[in-house]
Amino acid sequence: MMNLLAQTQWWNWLPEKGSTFTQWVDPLFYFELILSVVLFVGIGGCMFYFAWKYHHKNREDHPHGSHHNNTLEIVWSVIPLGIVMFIFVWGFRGMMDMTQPQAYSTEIVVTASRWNWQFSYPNGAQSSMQDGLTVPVNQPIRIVLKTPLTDVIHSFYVPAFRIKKDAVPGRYNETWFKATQTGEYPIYCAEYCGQQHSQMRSKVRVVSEDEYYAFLADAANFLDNDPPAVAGQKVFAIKGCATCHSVEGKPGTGPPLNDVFASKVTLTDGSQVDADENYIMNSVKNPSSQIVAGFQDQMTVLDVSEKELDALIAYLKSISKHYVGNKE
Amino acid sequence: MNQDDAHNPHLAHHFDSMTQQFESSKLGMWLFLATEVLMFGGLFMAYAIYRANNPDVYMFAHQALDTRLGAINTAVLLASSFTMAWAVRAAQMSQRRLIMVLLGLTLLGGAGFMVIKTVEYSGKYAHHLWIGPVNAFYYEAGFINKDTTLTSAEYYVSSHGSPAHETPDAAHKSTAHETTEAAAPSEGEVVLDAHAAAPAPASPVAAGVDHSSIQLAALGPTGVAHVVIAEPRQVGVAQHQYPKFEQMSSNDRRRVHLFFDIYYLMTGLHGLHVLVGMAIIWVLLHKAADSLTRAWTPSFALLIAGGYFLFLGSHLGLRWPLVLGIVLLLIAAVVGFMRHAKAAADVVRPGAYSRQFFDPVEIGGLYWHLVDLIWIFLFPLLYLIR
Amino acid sequence: MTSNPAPIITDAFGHPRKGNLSRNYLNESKGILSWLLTLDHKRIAILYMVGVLTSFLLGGIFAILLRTELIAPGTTLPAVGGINTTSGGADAVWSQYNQMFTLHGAVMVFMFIIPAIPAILGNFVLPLHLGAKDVAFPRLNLMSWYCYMIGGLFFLWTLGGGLFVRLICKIFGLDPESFGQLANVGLDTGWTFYTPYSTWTSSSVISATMGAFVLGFSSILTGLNFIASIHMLRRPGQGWTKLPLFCWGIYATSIIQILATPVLAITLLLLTAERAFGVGIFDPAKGGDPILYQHFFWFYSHPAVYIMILPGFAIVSELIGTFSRKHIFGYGFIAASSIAIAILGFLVWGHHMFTSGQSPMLSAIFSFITFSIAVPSGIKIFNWLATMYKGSIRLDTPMLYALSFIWLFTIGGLTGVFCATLSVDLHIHDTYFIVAHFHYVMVGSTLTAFLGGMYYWWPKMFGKMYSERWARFGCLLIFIGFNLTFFIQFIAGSQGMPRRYADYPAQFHIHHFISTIGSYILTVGLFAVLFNWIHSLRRGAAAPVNPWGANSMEWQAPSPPPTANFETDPIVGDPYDYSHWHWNEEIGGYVLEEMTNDEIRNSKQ
Repeated sequence: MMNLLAQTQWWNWLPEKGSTFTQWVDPLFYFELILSVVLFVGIGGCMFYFAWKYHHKNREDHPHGSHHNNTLEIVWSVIPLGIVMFIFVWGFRGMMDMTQPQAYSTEIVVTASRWNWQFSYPNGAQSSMQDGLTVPVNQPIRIVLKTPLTDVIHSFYVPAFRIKKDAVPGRYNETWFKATQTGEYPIYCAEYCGQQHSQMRSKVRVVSEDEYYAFLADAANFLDNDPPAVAGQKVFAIKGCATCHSVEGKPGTGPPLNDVFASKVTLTDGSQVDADENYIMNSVKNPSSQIVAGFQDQMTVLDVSEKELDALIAYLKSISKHYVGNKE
Repeated sequence: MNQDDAHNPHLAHHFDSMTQQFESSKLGMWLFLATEVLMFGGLFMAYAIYRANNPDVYMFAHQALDTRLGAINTAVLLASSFTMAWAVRAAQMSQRRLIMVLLGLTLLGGAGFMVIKTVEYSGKYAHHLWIGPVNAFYYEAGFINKDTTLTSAEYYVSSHGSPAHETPDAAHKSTAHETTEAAAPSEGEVVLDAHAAAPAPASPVAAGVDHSSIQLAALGPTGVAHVVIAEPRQVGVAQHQYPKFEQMSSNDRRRVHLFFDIYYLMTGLHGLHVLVGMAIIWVLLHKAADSLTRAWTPSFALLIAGGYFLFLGSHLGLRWPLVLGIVLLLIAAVVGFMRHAKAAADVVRPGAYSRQFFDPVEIGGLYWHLVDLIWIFLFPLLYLIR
Repeated sequence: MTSNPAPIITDAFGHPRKGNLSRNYLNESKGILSWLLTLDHKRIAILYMVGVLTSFLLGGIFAILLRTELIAPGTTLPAVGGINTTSGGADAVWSQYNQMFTLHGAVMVFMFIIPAIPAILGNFVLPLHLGAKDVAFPRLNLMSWYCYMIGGLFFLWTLGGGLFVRLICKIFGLDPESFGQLANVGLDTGWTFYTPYSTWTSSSVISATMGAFVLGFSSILTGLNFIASIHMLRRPGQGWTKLPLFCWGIYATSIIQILATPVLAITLLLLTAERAFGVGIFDPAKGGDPILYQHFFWFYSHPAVYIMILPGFAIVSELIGTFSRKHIFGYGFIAASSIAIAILGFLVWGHHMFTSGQSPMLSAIFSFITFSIAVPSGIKIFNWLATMYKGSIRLDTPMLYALSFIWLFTIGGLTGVFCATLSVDLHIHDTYFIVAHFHYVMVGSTLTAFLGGMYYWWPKMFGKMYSERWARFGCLLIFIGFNLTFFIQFIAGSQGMPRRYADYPAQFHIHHFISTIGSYILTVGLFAVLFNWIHSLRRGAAAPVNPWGANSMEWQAPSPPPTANFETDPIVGDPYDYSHWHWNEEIGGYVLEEMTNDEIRNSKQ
């Protein structure tokens, strides 16, 4: 604990600087902080000084000071008004820059769902919550935020970039940033979205332009290039299946998915179904129709393409001991 | 303290004078009315926002509302407001018998309003235009009700505003069955007629969810197959103003059911206020009556309730409301005669309200006028604006 | 004060009281029914006190539990009450945490802070401040308490009703599913009930929203009563400028209660309709708009923030004047600033939605108006300081709370400027910075003012003095504990710690650790206050008519007052002219000069 105390930089209120927006937020934040300290010391100081100076034990005192002064009232109305209007204009200019993308080079679609971040790049490449969002340094990047219609509100928050924008089902939101330093910065979900809200954390990897293009080339077209089961494992990660479905046999929000394929699955109504390709497809496209016994109907309907579905099925086959194809 | 007031039994201990008490209650009622207005304000706001965003939805869906019944209801409510205002005047003039008559008429006006509202609701229910999932246009990441339900409801909606219905022959197209008869028949509609006249589905959700279409609907066009509906024969000038369901944007189409949600929530909440208002007026009537008449006021309430159920039973063709209605009427008679016998044996005492004390009548009247006023806004917003 | 021998029971002028001295509103009639059916505003205040303090205890338990969960990263508490999950692992702990912060927020906001000052102190003091026998509508007043209790029952159902249904099902072998949402347990939506999460979750949302709906009626009836009372029941000669500032604060609060609460009511009704009938006005999957819900919700809930803080201002204005023994500075400005805040408070709700994707122009307008609220808030603080200047200050417990209030509200108010700033808010929105900010305003300021007010009017309410030493000790502990709990959260928040996180990155460990320790100290302080009160009720010395020398009319009524409040018609004067009250050592309180009404009226301030 002492270690932690010693390590914490108490004078540093804001996190590391990662984007150009720090030029709007940081100076204004510290301006407000200093202003607050000055005002607080002034008000608190007056209060303590008066409480000490005019403290009387005598209960019979009847001080007859003045009890109104319009000039004073106007002074202490107008001065704060002036200060806050100054802050307002400063903050307004910052907000206009921070919310309205200028010319941008790259557009990345960020899909938030319970409880996953999925990042889709212009060339069709995708990356998962674990791998994070990879972006080039010193490039304006527009983020398009979306959420499946049946999901809930999330919020895309990168403290180092000083940006935050809600991902609202039924509408697209946008934000943008220009990272100034390479490195890794945390992404948080900042709008309460349920059970694993606090686990909806990812990271932004800011890399050089060369590295970024290398990453794009590598990440694109994995559905065509990788063997189906390997591609399926990637889809499994990207779509965030792992947040609810373990592949180690531990029940989570949803049932574990190892050793499921080719087994018999018991549903809430007591009936048993064969976990074949059709069962998997149905469970992805229309999760409410077949709820596994002991679990609740709460899976989001995700946007999964035919190719991705094929890959997922191949992956689930590869991790099932019941599937005889694996034995070859 | 005013000497006259000091002896007034209606003066509460914490007030100095009757004037102060009266002014306080009036202020309190006005403040309460302000809260009511703001409460409905939320619904009006929801209405305005969806209307501004999806004007076509309102153009399309409001055709389902029966302007004629709405207008009759407006007249009924206005008339009852008039009798209420007159009752206040009568109380101020100490015209004790007149107060009773007028309050009774006001109460009947409220009951009449509820009866007509029932006709409207049941007509829409029969055509799958109910609240929530029991609505043909219900959308939850896809249209989830059966195609046939949707088409018949759609037909019901779009035929309502057509000039064919403005003919005197169709004047009493109140019930579900009559409506379909009144709609001018043509080739394709015989089939549709069968759908429309079919009994209301228990729950279309449970029965007809087509799961595979949900995802499709979320992505693209509705995924609902449309039966092309034959146009009513007499196409008037007004006809082309109304959008057709299949011509609307997908954004509009999935919000059609929201119109009905808003309609039912607004008129439902208003209906609830009418019921509360009727209860208040009944209490006023009870207090205003002299002891002999007061023997009959509970019977009067039961009479109205029984009459309503009799109407409901005959209108919907159900037996239990008929039975309930008859039972209520019998109870009304028994209670009335028993109370009458008791009251007749006693000295006749006058009613409570007079020139000296008429506060409750005025306060209750304020509430009734508010209920009326809200309807005056609801009627054009929902029924009339095109 | 406890060391004093039993003081002589006198009237306001120091004459021994005639008649039955032991009879007062507390023992006027006996039996539980005489309380449950009472129409006396003072008894209703006591009824409210019992309900509100119980809710505070309940909300406090949730607070301590959630702070304990956060003492270290990972999971701390055992999983007992997870919902939406079947595993007993971390999922269940997170789910349990989500319920704790939701219930903490919902209970504290709807059942403690909103009713605390208006319903307890307002009910007790306001009619006395007006020299009246009761509020304008005593029956509505009692009804509002019943609404409060029914709302409380709904919340209790949220907590355990579903378990009850499941138990019944188990006994009779029924399927809980067939009871639908009645079998749902707990609440995990956050107190804001944001859609579509609240439409989707399988927790007991309907009972909570209906609870808040009924509590809203309680709030409306209270506000309606107060406005009518202030308008109609003032003593002859008590013009609007002779109203104590407490009444002005309550008046401003009541305006908000009347105009904003109905909008919350309809919003919650719509949300209930979403869950009960499948209506989709706020549900995007059904074509609805979740942002509309946020607009509706904050249209009430931002003004509700002023429902919470304005009564705090109201109390502190009384305390600062009384304990500085000097006429309050800038009476008109303090009164007008309350009304200004009440009006401006209706025009700023959109500042909760800067990141939601609303148009930048809308955000700018909301930000602009929000900043303008800094002015009336500042006016109050400056006027209080000016009142203290050259006063004759006594640091009794209520005054300590008032000073503590100024300290905490200054921090809460100044950090509000950060939150209102458009660019900075994009960074700190929905982080612990916001959590700290609103706790400084709601708890730091409102709770402190509430406790200060309770200590100030305690002698009048119960006719007993309390142990000054223990009271000061409690105040100090609360002050230290509170600052320790919440100041560190400003730093955590500006560093990027998002709110409503059951688990957090290790870098925030130290912040949460300190905060949790602070919350324990705060708890000890609150219990010190509770024991202080209980001790006072059992052992406290009899209170004089006017222990503080204040000049508002309640101090002319006996302590505790009889059911009809005043034994003789109270003298109406300037409530902040203390010069006619003189200390009497024998009585242990202040006595009023013998003056006629006219003399008081014509005397200089």
